[in-house]
Amino acid sequence: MDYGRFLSLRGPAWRELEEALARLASRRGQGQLTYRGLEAVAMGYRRVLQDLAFARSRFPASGAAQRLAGLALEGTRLLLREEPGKRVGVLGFFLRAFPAAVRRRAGVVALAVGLFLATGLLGFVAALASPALGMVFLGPAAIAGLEEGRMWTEALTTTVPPAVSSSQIATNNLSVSLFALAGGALAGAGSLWILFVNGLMLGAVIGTTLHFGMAPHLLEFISAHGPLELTVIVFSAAAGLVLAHGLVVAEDRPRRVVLAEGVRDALTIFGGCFPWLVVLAVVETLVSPAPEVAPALKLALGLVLEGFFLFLAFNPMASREARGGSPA
Amino acid sequence: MIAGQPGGSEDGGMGLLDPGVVLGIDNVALELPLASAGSRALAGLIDYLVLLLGLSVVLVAVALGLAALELETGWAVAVISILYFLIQWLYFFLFEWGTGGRTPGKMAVRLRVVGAQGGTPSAGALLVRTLLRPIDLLVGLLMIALDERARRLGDRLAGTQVVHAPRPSDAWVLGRPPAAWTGREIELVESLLRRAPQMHPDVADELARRFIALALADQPERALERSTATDALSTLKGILAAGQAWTTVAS
Repeated sequence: MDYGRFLSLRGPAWRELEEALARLASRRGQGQLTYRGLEAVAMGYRRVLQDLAFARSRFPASGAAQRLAGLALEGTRLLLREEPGKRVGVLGFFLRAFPAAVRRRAGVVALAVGLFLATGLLGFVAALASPALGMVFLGPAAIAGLEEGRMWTEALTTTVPPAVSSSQIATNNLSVSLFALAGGALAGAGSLWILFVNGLMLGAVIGTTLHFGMAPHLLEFISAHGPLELTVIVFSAAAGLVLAHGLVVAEDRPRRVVLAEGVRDALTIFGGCFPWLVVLAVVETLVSPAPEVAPALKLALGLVLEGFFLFLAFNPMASREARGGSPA
Repeated sequence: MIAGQPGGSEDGGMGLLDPGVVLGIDNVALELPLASAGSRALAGLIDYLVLLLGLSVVLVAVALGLAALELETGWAVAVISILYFLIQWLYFFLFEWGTGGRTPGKMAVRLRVVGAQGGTPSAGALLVRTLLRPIDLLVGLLMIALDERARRLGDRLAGTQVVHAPRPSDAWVLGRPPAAWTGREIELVESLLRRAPQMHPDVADELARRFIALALADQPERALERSTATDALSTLKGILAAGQAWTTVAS
């Protein structure tokens, strides 16, 4: 078949597919597409691939071959949806996918918890031995306040309106958690850094307040939001470490398979933590610093929140094999 | 539209295909026009400028709106800081998800994010590459330069790649070449028509005249069409029914 005949025979079909793909590219066009129409587009796409193979073998650098290649790429882009991600629904995500991912990665979660506790203990002991360490984390103003028997946390509601501090706390916690997750891409260095700094800071702050005899006030302040906030940050770092594991350790399987599993589980674990950060910001601003809320009530709220999160994370009714996915 | 894999597949990571080549239906190889570090850096620069400008405009507009509503300063600051956070993190994801893998920067440079097989990436994949953007601001450009498929870290983890959007109008097609011509002659003429705007007019004219003589030697009956055109390139296009759209293909 010569070039002219090839074009005249096949050209109308190419033009038809080009027009169909242009319609498909617009959301309105997608809505108007019938099953029969979609079938016709898929058949046209397949014929274009065959024509492309022919054009490449007979007229390799011709304009027709180039344009068919462009048409084939556009068809591939519009017709092939890669790994569409199973939609599990919000309830299914929190009740099945999230706990299944946590159970699959229980070792990494345990490692993150262990590292956090170890650095916390280190900070605590170091602060008791040298109270000056508290200055590094709290600053001179907070230390001066502690010496006078005042907690720096009072400023959360007395110097700025609650709306400001809650939004700032929410965005700050989100940023820390996002960095804990994304830091896994640096072979886990970023996630480890978050665990190390937060553990050390918590231990040092508790140690410093204990030194000034203010530890009960601190524990009262953090009892409502602290347990869950720290758990969420540790889980986010664990998600980052899951990502790092997929990146660094392939074992005897193809790396891209291990990596895909790692990304899926990391996102699922992080997705299970994400909404709690908003709840925590409200609690940390409105409940934690409020003197009118009884300490026992704050502690009860903290335990309920923590217990609910841990129940979701380790839901014994969830299967280990439940697939991850994004909430619909 | 068609979920899953209608036939496209890579070589299973065995490295049998060239970088940027994927297998479509019936094992037809498709070459993805991978975007290099330069064009991606330019697109990124444009995006960050748009983001900065957009953030400024939105935040000022919101601040003015909230002031008009006479809200407490605390609430105004809270709304603005949440908006700032959301825009900063969602800009890339929402654009890429809503426009089929393009952001304003990518649109300007004609780039697009596609999946590993050239298909539309899932929302999850686009989210992953967005979340890893802060890390890629440090190492991304280096990774693009070193990776054979020009992928940054976010692309590797999300299973995506960035390609040049096709330019169909670039290629000329001869609708009516002489039957005796082989693929080589056809390619030369099409190449001339494609490059003519960048060539010196005299050189393009001279080459066009040579091809006219060649075409007429094989198809003397088309000599009449010479009189209707004003210059050699137009004459050549007329004789060979050359066009940049399938509609010009002669039957």
